[in-house]
Amino acid sequence: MTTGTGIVRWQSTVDPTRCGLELAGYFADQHRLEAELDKGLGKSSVTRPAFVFTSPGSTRAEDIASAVTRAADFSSDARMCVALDAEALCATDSVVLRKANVGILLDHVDADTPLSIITTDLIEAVRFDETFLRRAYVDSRSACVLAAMLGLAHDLGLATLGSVDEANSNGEFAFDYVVIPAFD
Amino acid sequence: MHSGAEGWLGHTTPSIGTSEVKLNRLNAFNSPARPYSTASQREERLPFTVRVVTTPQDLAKAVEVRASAYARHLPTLGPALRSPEAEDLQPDVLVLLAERKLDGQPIGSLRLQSNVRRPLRLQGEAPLLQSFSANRLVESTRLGVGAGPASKIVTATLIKAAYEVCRGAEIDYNVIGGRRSMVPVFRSMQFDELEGGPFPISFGNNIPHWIFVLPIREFEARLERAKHWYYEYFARTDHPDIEIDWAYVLSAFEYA
Repeated sequence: MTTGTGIVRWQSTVDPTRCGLELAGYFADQHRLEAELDKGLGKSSVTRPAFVFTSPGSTRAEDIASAVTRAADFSSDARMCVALDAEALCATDSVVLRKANVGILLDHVDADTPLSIITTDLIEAVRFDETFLRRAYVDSRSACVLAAMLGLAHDLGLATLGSVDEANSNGEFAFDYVVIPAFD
Repeated sequence: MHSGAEGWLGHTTPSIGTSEVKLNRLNAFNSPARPYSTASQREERLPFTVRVVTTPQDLAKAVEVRASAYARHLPTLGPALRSPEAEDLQPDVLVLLAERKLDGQPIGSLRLQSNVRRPLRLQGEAPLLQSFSANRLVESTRLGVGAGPASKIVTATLIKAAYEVCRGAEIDYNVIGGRRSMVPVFRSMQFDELEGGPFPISFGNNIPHWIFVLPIREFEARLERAKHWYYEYFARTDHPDIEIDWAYVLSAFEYA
């Protein structure tokens, strides 16, 4: 979901009037990012996105700090978030994150993600890794791990994002947001 | 619904429970001191905020999550809670709302009613509560959390906010009633069980409820003695995402 460029729409499973936008692959180009955000917001004229997130696509501390600053500079009604995986989060100066009024989405969460990372207090949402989800739909032990992680996220008050294959998940795993593939 | 003053505390929409008393007290309050005997050791951000409901829009969100939560446990009551109850609109009632930062989704609510203007509803259900009537009481009701299993942190944060509200407004006792499943929860939180229970609650479909009372000023010490994890969470951790509108709170509970 984060490879290439494009706009991905995430739909609330609780409230169909709520959605979020993922802007994939634009953080190296601020002007294109802003243009894509305008485009996304324009297409969401009926349902305004509650949040917008993008990934810096780097684990270098300075790239992440730059991404956070850019996100903080956006003027939008939507909550601006930066998606960081566990490695990037650990590499980031927490002071930078605390200073900015930007949400952190913990990305690529899978069975190898330490629970202590999920409990980091700056995180507002977690997105599960697609490969991990596909495994959890067919493997009982991975399913147990996913169920435990969803329970932890829920206990912490975090939003959960998962690209669900309904046919395989049997509705067993309740994410707060699921992806709507074809937004363009 | 009471009509609110335009622009009061920045609200351009009618405020809930606004009264002349509240408006007259706006210029005469000081934010209460931190209500813990020990210094905070850390600051913790939360993925949600907890605040006092002051607008109809906020109340609609609180009602939404309450109805969803109750529908899981009491399916017959859930639909009746899809609209605000008369209690929600009373000027001596506060509703706390937990709202996710990411998307504004309501994920928890709790209602607090004081006895400063009228007896608590529970006072009419359990005669022993009359012995507390000379005290400043707050009844906690309608705790509703999340669309799935109750979130521990959201619940704890709502209770922390309620405790701070009670301390700030110099409330003597918190009163709470619950079904059998809640009894161990209240006991673990060091509430005192009211003798003679359970009591059939007339406004709760006559379902037997256990009633508990907590001396607010003892709460912190009781949690510490019991080594309850709430002690660290309440007394030793600052949560700037708990946003209490003290002008609203102190006027609602008529604290001078």
